[in-house]
Amino acid sequence: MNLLVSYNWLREFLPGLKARPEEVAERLSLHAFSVERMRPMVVGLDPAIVVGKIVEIEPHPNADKLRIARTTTNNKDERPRTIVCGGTNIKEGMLVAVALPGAKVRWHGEGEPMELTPTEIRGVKSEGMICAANEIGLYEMFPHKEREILDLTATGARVGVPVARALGLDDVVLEVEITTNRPDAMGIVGLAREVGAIFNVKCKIENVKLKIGHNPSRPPLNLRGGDWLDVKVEVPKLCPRYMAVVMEGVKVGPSPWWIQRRLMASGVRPINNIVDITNYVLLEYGQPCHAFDAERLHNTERHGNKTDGTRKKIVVRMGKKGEKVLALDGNTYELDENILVIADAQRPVAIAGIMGGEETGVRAGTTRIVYEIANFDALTIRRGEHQIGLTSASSVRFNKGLPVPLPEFAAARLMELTAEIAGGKVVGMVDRHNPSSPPLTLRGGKTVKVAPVEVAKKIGVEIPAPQMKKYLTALGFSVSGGAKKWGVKFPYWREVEADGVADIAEEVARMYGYHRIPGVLPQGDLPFEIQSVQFTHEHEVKEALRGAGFTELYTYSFVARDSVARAGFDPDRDALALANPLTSEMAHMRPWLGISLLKAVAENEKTRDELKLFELSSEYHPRAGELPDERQKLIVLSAGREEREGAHFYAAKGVAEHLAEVLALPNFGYEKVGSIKAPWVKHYHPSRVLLVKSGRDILGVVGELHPQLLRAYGIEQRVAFLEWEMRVVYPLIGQGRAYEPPPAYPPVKRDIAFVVSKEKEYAVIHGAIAKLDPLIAGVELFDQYAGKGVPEGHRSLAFHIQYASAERTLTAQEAEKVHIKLSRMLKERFDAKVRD
Amino acid sequence: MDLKEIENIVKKKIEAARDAAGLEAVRIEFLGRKGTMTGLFSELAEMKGEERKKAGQELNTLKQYIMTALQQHVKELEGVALGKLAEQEKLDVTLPGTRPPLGHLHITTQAIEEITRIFAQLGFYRMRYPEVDWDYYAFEALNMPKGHPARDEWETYFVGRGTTRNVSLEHIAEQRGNYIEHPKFGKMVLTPHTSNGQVREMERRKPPIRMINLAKCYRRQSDVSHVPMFHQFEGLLIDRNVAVTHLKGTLEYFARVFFGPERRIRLRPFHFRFTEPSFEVDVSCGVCHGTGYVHNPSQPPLTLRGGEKCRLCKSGWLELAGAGMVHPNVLKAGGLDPKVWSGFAFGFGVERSYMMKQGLRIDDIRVLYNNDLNFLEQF
Repeated sequence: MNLLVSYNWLREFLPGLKARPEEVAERLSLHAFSVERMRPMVVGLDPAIVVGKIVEIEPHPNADKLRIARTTTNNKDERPRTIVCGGTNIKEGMLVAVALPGAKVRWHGEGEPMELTPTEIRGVKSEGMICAANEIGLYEMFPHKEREILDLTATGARVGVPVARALGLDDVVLEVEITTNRPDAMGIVGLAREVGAIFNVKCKIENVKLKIGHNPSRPPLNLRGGDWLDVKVEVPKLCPRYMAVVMEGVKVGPSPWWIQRRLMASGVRPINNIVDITNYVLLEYGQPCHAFDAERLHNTERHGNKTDGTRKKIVVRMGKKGEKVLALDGNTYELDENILVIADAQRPVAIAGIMGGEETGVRAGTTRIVYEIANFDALTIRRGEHQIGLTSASSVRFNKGLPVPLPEFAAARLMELTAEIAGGKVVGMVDRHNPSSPPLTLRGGKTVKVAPVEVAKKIGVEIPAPQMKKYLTALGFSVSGGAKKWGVKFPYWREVEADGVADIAEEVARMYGYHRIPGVLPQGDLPFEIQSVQFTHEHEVKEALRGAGFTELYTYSFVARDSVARAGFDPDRDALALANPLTSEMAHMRPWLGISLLKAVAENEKTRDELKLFELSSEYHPRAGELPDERQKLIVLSAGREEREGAHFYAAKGVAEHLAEVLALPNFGYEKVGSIKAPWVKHYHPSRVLLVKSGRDILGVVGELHPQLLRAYGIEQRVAFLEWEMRVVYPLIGQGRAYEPPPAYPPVKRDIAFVVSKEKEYAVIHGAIAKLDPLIAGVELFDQYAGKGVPEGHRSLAFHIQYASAERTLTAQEAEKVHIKLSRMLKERFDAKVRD
Repeated sequence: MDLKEIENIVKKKIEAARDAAGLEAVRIEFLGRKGTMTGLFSELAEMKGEERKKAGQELNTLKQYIMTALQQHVKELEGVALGKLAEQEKLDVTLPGTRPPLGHLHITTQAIEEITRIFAQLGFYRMRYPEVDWDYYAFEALNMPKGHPARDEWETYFVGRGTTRNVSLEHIAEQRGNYIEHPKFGKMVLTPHTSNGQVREMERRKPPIRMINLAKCYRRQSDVSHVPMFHQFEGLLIDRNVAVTHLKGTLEYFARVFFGPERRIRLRPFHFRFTEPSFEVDVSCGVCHGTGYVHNPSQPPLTLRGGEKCRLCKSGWLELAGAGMVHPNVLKAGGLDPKVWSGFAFGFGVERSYMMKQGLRIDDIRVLYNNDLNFLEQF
């Protein structure tokens, strides 16, 4: 989580810190937590804007809406400045922000900052300007009405001091990313410890600890909760500690400026002094606190014989189905038995560790309050947050696990600040501690045994043992034992992570500085591992397709439920469903890569004339009781406007042949789908599809998609796929490469053209020609034509024929003999009309 | 006719010839079957002795002369003709070329190829593990026991039984009882990181291990800088006496080959459950060379003043990856004794690394996977 940290607040605990904010940010990033950003607390508050005091107000002789404010702007002011001012709220004796000539201000809060010069306004000379908050960049902190100037009277600032300094705004805010393992650093005190260790500066944390930890039954000040408060923890495991402090006679009002300022620097909106104090303590100690208005907590119904009018009841319990609570954020949350709640005698008054209830909140007029300073089970809070969909500054700390001793520090600080700021006195206190939870001792608990040599070995740098010890001690660890073996005891605030040697190595290494550790290439034997050729093959396939003009896609592996159904799959049986999809568009893992690609075609069809795309990715086929079968599929597609009928089909088929050649697939060929009843057959056009084979292996299929399927995906034009199962293809790659000696004798080349019925398929004709005579060495179709001049239902085909013998050079006569035989065969078998 | 006279006539005629045809006419006139020279040669038959010898020599000399002169002039004429070539065979060379078809590989493919090649040089072999895996490999074996808050950070998808309700967390699915669960390995998840390969690799082979795994990962997130499906690459090295220095050396090597020899690596402390110590890895910015400033390198980084701060990086460094020394609990889960074996692991976002390398500033990285051809055809 990201924490906004006021540099000045941090420094309050580190009086010896000389480092500038920039330096703190850099070293903190290198040794502990990443500082994501840093910025001055306010931007553009010119030093020539100073605190002034209005001593006298006169009307402006020439304007009704303007007045003349005589204002002193330095202590020794012999003569107050004359300032013409239109502010509606100015009063004599008021402290105001005065921009002196030369200062830059934003007129009426708009436009670029302008330099102020002494001017005459309606005939009266003005020697400065009394500013509104929006004119000096403070509107966010001091929102105001139109034409109201900034009233600084409450600050009691000295006249003449720059406003930035008077308001304590000469501060820098660091945004620090605190890692989840360090809830101890989610407060100023914890960060100060860290910064102190890094800069070797003593951290001054006042010992405000209450002396109640070890004996909850005898609180100090001879106070007992018993007279005022009845606290019952029904689930001690989930609430290892519950402290409550009752204070009476508090006066609710706005907080003093210094508290407001720090809250604002930390990104927290000031509300009233009591609420602000709880937030202040949270920010300082990292311990969430809450304040109830005691009057609004329901009493214990009966206490002995008499009705007890003052004794309030607090129960820490699980919620009940049907219970609701209106939280401080204005929303009502439904509770159930998974949500930990704080209740009074009748109803839940807070969602434990997450947010307090609106009805029992502190407001103007509240005089008796109950502070809650507790420790809750991290997992319960975390689940609660997710279930009700609410997180808060409290819950993000609780859900990491906070140290059990922390509440007493926070309680002491709460009491101190309340007495100082809101008055009132402590009249009751309760501390419930679950004896089976970690002990309340502050001396630290878990000890890890380590050898300093081991630590250095893990880092790879020889850091001297005394140096290591220094690092650890600075962080609050205590190190005992001799030079060979140490016992390292974790401080109580780091108990959560105490584990083993690796933890210690981490602390030492980061204090030494990871950035100082040199880089060394790994030593040791290389593993004897034969790299899977599949990765190389994948790339060969992709490169071949790229070279052939196809563009690679990476589509999402998830698809919508209805798009699974549209492809004829049963979404529940054939596809893996997500229990928590991000959107309904991403509800299932695709059982067919084609679904993703059809979506891509639908999306791009209108913007392009032609789509030549491919993807080589996995499909996910569910298997009972096992992980799904992740099957790699290649789909190459041709789509868009077709220049001639079947163009996409032939394009896809051409790719198959191209790949077969490039990848040297053995005995490449096709087969008609025939009577195969596989589900995928339905995806394809019944007469425009072929199985693609290499020897006996079926690599996949090439075909035009069924028009019905295309319609289902909103695709208007035809689409053809080449679809290969890659686990069949990979082992065959390269198998078809064999050496053939070049022909020894030159061939005789002849052409033959004939008109034949369209019913006669090319492959049959081609096969018949090729097998006709051993002297036929090559058969290649070079032209086909149908239309004018060719009878209806017929087409003209033209072949190059090569006649050759392996033993001798053929004579023209020998070739001619076979050529005549060919002519005859075509006439007889195919009823072809051979052209001259 | 006097031979000298013939020579002069030939000379003039050759010079007068304007083209190859003209020269051929000259050749035929003098050297042809019925040509002048042929006639003179036939006259030799009537001569005798010395006279015939002399006349023969003279005739041969003249013939030689004519042949040479013709040849030379042919060359000259050719030169003239070639001089006119530009005029006669003019092409509009500014017309566009005839291109072979142009295809494109996705930038993720390009990145994967390059990364694999670099790590191969350090002896890392590439592996592939399930993308849909058991909770055990994705979390539990990685020192993230059930219910641990660290799991939340991964925004994990769970495989269920066909609900489309928008539920974010495992325990809710659990309450509804609609997730798929293995009696031993727990729930079925879409791997939110490539680290599920770590324990699988330790189970598959004995150390030394130098594995690299580049794969799809899934997280429940989608905004301008997050995609619900993306790619990571993970490196895992396990051997005896592996130290932080080795991790740093490996990453440094990668960064220098991948990004450029002048680039540097910086480790910063971070926290991951499956490594200890854990780091975030920064690479020095290629634009400002690690200073944070483009024009004014004398100023220190992280200054409060605005000015010419580098717009690509924060303070001279770019976040690149997460890394760390394999946590002893992870080694144990893989059946290895942490007292004997140690190792490091790192994980990078493939897309992010490649965009950083190319200096690509893509405002919304979802464009990578939304099939927009205008984007894909740029690579």
